[in-house]
Amino acid sequence: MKNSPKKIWTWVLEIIFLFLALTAPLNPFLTTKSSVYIWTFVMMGLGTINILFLVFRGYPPEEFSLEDETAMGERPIQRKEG
Amino acid sequence: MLFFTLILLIVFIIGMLWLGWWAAVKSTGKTESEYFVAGWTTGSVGISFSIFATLASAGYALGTIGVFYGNPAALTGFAFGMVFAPWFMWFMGKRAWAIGRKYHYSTFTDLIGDFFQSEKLRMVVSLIIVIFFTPYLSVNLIGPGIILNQASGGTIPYWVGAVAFGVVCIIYTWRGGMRAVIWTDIAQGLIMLAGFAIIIPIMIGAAGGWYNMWEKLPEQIALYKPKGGSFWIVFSWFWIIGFLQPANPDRNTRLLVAKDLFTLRKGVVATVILLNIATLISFFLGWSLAVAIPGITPTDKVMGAAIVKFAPFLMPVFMIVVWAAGMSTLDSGIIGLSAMWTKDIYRRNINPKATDDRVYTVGQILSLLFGVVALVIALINPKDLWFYIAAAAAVSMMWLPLIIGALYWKRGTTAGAWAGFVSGVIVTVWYYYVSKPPIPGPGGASFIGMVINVLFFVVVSLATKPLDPRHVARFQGIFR
Repeated sequence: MKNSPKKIWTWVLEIIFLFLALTAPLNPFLTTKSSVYIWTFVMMGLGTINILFLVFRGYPPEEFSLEDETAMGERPIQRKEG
Repeated sequence: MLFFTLILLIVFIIGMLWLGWWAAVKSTGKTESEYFVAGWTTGSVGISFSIFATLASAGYALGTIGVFYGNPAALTGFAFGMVFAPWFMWFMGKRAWAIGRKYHYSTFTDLIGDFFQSEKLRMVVSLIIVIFFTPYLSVNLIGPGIILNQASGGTIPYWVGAVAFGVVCIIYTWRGGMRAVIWTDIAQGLIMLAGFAIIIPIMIGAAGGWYNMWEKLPEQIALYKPKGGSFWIVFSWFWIIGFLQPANPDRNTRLLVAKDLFTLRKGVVATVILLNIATLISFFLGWSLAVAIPGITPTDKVMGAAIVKFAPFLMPVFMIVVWAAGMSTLDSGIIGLSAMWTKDIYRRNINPKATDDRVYTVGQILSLLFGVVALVIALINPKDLWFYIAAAAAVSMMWLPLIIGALYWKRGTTAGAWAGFVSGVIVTVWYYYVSKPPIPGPGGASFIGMVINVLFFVVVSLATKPLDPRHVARFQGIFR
């Protein structure tokens, strides 16, 4: 799996979400109850969009198909503990 | 009212037992994978409702909503955690599912033991999580026992409710395994959504309607404290909600049960929708109760008090919501712990040659055992139980770095995994039982424990001999 702009954007968007959400109590503009809850709803929306971007664009399931599906159920070899 | 309560309760009990029985009938055979991961046949509805219903415990319906009554910082941190958890679950689940499917894993201790090549590590992780997590199960029996006592006007004693609730849940989990847990979770999730859809408009009405509620919502409980005084509370709630969902053994096994990765993706998308609904439920109830019935202490009594004051006819409905919430969490915990001990203790160490049929039977016996232990703890109802439960949830997060390490980090070593896990558990337990953590809120102790855990895991791993690259490639190099 190579790095692609979509993967990088996945992480950038999530870091932006985390920064904006977690610094809400430090945000000087959130001084009324309307602003506090509107900001919270905007963050819920951004977090949801990030999840959609992650699962459909950044890291879709196609990238996680197995190289060899013939050996299903075979356990990795165990090392003896000393 | 008592008659109506009992009728509703009997219908609910029969419904859950029937679903459990039907799940057992539809099972694909007496195999380990059938009992613990429903034969890898679970669809996106099952995954999402199962995660949602497991998260919404009896503690959520009674206690957590009470916390949000008059605590906006906690509420917004909760909201942020709820949209972070599915993101992290996909990050973890997409690889965990593929590796788990290839090697037939049904618990994350399978992955930890195999990747780090240590049976002892697998055993210790399993033991610690089971020991700390079992008391958490019992809370889900206490809430329903109390609420039935209230709904019946004190006629039905607490212990009768707890025993009835426990017996039903234990029977269907024992009989139908993960398939029964998921099917009943879907039904219980729908019951919770329907119940709250009835209760919320009544509570907003009791607060004088939407506009009146918003106007009267006091600023002092709707705003953050000045000068960033609420920062750590927001962070603490974000932390515990955001990381507990992918970490708790009662819900992270859902990442292994999907039919395929496309189903898991749909499940994650449906999960974020349901978790956002749970957040909105918390908002609407928190606001309306703060206006309609201010000053109730302790705050976990506020839901019951509001129902009694404004809509006593809804007490049976609220009771069923609490029962559904409790049952969906208890059954998931029972099957999660049973899977860990059946595989980690019995199959790996006591009887490695056990047949699938035998493992299935042992899984059933252990489900019964964990259910009965949780019921006994609930009947004793020890003082400060909630305190131990918070600690349990925090400690059970400490295997997360090991799971992520096995999925993503080539340089993780067995010594590093030991150092990280043991130090994380010790620090978390210290900050719960001995000293107060410097970070307030429910996630303070586990956050510090996790920082120490990751630090020791990374430093000791880098200082010790790496695992054989061919072995690591069997986990991290199996994708196209």
